[in-house]
Amino acid sequence: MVTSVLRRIRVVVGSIGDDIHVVGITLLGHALRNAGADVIQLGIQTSPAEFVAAAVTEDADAVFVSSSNGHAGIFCPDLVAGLREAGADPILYVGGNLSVSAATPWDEVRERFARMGFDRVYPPRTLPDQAVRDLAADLRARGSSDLPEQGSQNV
Amino acid sequence: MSDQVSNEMLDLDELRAQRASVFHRQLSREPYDLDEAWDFARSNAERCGMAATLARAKSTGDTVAIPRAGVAHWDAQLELMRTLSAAGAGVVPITVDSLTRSLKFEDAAKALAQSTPDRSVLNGYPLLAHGVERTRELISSVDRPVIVRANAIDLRLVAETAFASGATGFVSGPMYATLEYSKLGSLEVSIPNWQYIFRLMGEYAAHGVPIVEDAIGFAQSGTCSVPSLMHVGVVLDALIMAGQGVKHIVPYQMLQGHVAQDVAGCLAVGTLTDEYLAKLGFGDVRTYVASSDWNGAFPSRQPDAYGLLAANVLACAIARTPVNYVKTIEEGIGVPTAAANAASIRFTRYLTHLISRQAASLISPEVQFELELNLMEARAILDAVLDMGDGDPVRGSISALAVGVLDIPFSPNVHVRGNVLPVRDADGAVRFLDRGALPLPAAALRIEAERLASRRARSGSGELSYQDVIDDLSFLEFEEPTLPEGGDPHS
Repeated sequence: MVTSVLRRIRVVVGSIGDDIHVVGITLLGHALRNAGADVIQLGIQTSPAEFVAAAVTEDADAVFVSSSNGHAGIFCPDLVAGLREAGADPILYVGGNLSVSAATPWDEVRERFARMGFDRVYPPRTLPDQAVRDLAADLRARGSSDLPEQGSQNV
Repeated sequence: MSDQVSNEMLDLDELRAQRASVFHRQLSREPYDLDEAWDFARSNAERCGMAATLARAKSTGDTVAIPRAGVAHWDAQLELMRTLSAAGAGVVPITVDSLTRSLKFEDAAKALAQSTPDRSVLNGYPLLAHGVERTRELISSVDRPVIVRANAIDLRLVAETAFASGATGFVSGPMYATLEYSKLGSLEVSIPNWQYIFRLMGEYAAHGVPIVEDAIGFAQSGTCSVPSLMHVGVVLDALIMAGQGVKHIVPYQMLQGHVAQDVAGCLAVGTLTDEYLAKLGFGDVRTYVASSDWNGAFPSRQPDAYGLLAANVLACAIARTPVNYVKTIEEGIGVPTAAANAASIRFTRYLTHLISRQAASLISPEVQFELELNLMEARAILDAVLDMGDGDPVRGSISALAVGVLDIPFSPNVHVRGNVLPVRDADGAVRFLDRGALPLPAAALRIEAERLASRRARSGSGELSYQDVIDDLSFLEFEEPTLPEGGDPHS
C-alpha cells in the first residue's frame, strides 16, 4: 500500500479539544503515512496550543484536524490564531462531524471554518484518500514541492 | 525497589510505604488497617467468594453469567444487584463512576448528594464517597460474590476500598487501562500503580482472601481486532499480575461475531495464559477464561441484538468458558433497564445450558484452523516481547511498545505506534490488513493474505481500502432502521 506521492512531506494529525474519537485520525494517519508522508500523530484530545507547538517544532507542511463530537468550532479559532502568532503557515485541513446539530446545513458549516482560515473543510464520511489527493494538489499549487504529477495512486 | 520498572515482586516494606503515601496524598488519611480488613474479607469470601464460584463452574463445565451495572445511590445499587442476582447472574457487579475513577472523590461525593434512588447523576457507584462501612453493608446484603468494575491508570484507592469492603473480583490491568484508555499515560508510570494493586491482592490471598482479577489485555473498545493480538495483551497483563502474587486470573476473549474464530480465541487465550504463566514460574495460578460480548456497535433493534447475543453465546458455550460477560438487548440504545439486563442474562443462561453439552461435536476443523493460527501468531509476538526484556514481561513490554513490536490498532495512547490495522475477511473473521512491525511468522502472513483474498476479490479494484475498515465498524449491524420521523427505531 505504500507509495511516495507525499515523500518527505511533514503532516501533523490529531483530534482537537475534548474530542476522544480515535478511528478517523487513525485511518487518516495510515493513509498519509502510506502515501509517504512523515506523520506526527497527536492523537485524541489535543489542545490548540499542542497543535501549534507540534506544527512549529516539526516544521509541518500541513495540519489535519479531525473531529467527531461537534466541538471543533470551539477550539479551532485558537489553533488558527496560535499558528499566525507563531508565524507558521502550514496548509490547514479540518474534517468530520463539525457541528453539534445534524440539522445545520453543510454550506454554513464549511463557510464557518473557511472564514476561520482552513484551506479545506471536509464533511462527514470523507475517505482518507481524498485528503491525500488534495494535499498533493495543494502542495503543487503552493509550488513548495517537487512532488510527482498526480496519477492513480494506490493508497 | 530497583530504579527500573520490572516484574520483580514489590518488597512488603515498600508496599507499606507506598500505601501510607497514596492514602495521605489522595485521601488525607491513614491507610486502612489490613488485619481488620482481612478479618472481614475472609469471612465474606467464605460466604460468597468469586474464586470459588468460578472454580466450581470450571470443574463442572458451567458458565457463570456476569452483567455490568452501577448507579450512584446506595439503595438503588442494592436493588440493582438483587435484581441481577434474581435474574441468574452468578456474580454481581459494582461498576464505579468515572469521577471516582479519575480520583475526583469530592466531586463524586457532591454528585452522590444530588442523586436519588430514581435518578443517578453518576454513571456508576461512587465507591470512595460511600466508603468501606456502607459498601460492606451493601456486599453483605446480596447472596452472590461481588466484582468491582473500574478502569483507569491509577485505581489504587479504588482497589483498596473494594477489597476492604469485601469485593472478591476486580478488573483490568496495565495493558488495557493504559494503552486502550489513556492518552498520555505511559507503561512506565502505570505499571507500578497496578503492581501496587496486584501486590495488595497477593497479600489478601496470602491471608485467606482469594481475589479474582480480570486480564482484559488488548480487547478493543468499539472496533474489532485480530484475536492473537488481543491474547498478547491478556498474557502480558496476567504475567504482571502473577509477578505480584495474584493467584486467580480471568483471561478475556472479546467475541466478534465470527463463531469459529471466537471459539478458537476462547480456547487459545486460556492455553496461552496457562502456558506463559508456567513458563515464567507461576504454575500455581488458577485461570478461568471469560468470553465477553461484542464491545462495538450493537444493533438497536432488540430482535437483532438477541441475534448478536446468540452468536456470542454460541461461541462461549462451544468453548465452555467458565465466565461470560453479558451485554444486553438494549446495548444499542443506551444504559439498559433492569428488565433488559435480566432478559439478556436469562437468554445467555438458557442458550449455554442448551449448547454446552453439545460442545464437543461443534469443534469444527475451522475452529482448529483458527486456534493454530492464533497460537502461532501470539507466541511469536510474546516471545519477541519477552526477549526484548531478557525474559521480564514488564521491561519487554516497555521496550517492545517503543519500537512497534508491541502495537495495537485504534489506540488513543500517544506511546502506541498504531501502525496495525484489522479488517474482516469475506466470512467476517478478523485479519491483519496492516501488521505494522509486529513480528509475525512468514507462515502466518501467508495464511492471513490467503484468507483476505476472497474479500479483495469482492471489491471492485481487487484491493482493500480504508472504506473496508470503516465498513467493518458496523459489521454487526444489519439493515439499520430508517423510519419516518416520530417512528420508534427500536421496535
